[in-house]
Amino acid sequence: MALKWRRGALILAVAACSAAHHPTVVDIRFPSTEGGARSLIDPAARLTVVEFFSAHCPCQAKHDERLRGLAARYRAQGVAFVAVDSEADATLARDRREAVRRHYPYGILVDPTGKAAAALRANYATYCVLIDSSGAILYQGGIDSDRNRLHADATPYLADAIADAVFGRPIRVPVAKSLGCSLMRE
Amino acid sequence: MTPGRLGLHEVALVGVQLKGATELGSFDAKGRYASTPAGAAELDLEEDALVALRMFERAQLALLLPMLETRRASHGLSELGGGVGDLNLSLRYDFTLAGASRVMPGVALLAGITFPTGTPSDAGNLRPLATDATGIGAWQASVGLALEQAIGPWLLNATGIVAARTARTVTASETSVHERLARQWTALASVAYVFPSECALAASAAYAVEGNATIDQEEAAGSNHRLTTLTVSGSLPLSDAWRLQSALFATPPLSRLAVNQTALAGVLVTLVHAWL
Repeated sequence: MALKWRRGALILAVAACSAAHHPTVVDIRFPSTEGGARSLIDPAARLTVVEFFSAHCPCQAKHDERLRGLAARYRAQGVAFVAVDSEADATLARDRREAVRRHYPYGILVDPTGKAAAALRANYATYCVLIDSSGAILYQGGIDSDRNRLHADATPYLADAIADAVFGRPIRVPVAKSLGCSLMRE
Repeated sequence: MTPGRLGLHEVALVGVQLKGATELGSFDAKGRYASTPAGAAELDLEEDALVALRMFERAQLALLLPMLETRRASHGLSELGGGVGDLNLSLRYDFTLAGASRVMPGVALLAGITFPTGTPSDAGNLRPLATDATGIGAWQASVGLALEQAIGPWLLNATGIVAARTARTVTASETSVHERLARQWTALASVAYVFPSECALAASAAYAVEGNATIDQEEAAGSNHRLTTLTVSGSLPLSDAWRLQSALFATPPLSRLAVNQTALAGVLVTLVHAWL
């Protein structure tokens, strides 16, 4: 029920934006470590994974490799990834360093006022939202069932949701728990 | 305060805690410290069973069941006794979480009730050195407030707790005494450093104050208590589910740091299994 409400709300927000030009989170442009500014959804992508990033969180660091792997595996299917640093101490300079150090193949959007986190109800690092090109939320939750120690038999919630969306299947688990650190807001 | 506190994302835990402490000395009613005299000794052992359950996102309930053993020697007598201690049920409600805001610290309400399941020191059938005394003999209700903030890898905590005990009537040798212990106030401050591996080291100081007891409606002068406890502790995650916690604690043997208390030094080891 919560997912349907959120999905509806986001679609409505996009529709309202089109009609009345009220800015919503999908319209807001955030400074990107790749240069310039961009919005959460990649307009050229079929699906966008928005991942809430923390520079301090050990759980985040443990999942970097899995995120890079997912981004590489689904790039050809039109799935774009973007990280968002919604922590109060986020800066473009720090996130540029982190993106390079972690070999991210996608940018980190810098959101120190937490607008994106508030709109997408992100409270923890590694919380991901899978959004289709219409702005509908298909999945929200953790990357998988692991926290700080990775297990080969972890449940890959995000990977499953991407695969389901890519192949047009119903999302088997549309909402899952995110096990990262608390995102520090103002 | 319970060692069975659920961490972020944890929904339940079980654990065991082992505690061993030895008596260094004691503080009199004026806070003067004296070492334990030759020939006297006390060794306290405790094994606690811990259970905690998250009731909903911000509230957790914890249960602690202690088993106590005491070995005491005095005036040529030596004795070992023990039994079930006082069962404690505690509730923690986090209004806000540490680290979730740069401005607002984590604020939690603590509440607890201790059941008199142990044997009080004034029970009629105790052994000569009362080594089988394992409880205070009264119900205890406590309420407290905990403030926590994370600053990078540092975690700061300040906690205040007040506890009230029910009045009780003790009958011995056909004489009845009505006793009400005063409220006990405890302040605790700690600082912890969390490593990227999630290992943590902490240091804390606690100061507890209890006023004079009331005996047969009259205040019993000189029955008050004060106690300072210093602790260094560590936490070692063995996996996402298992963690080992350990602590060294002591009441420094310095006059005025306690009143009407024994000075103990000891070690705690806790093994916890948690579910995410």
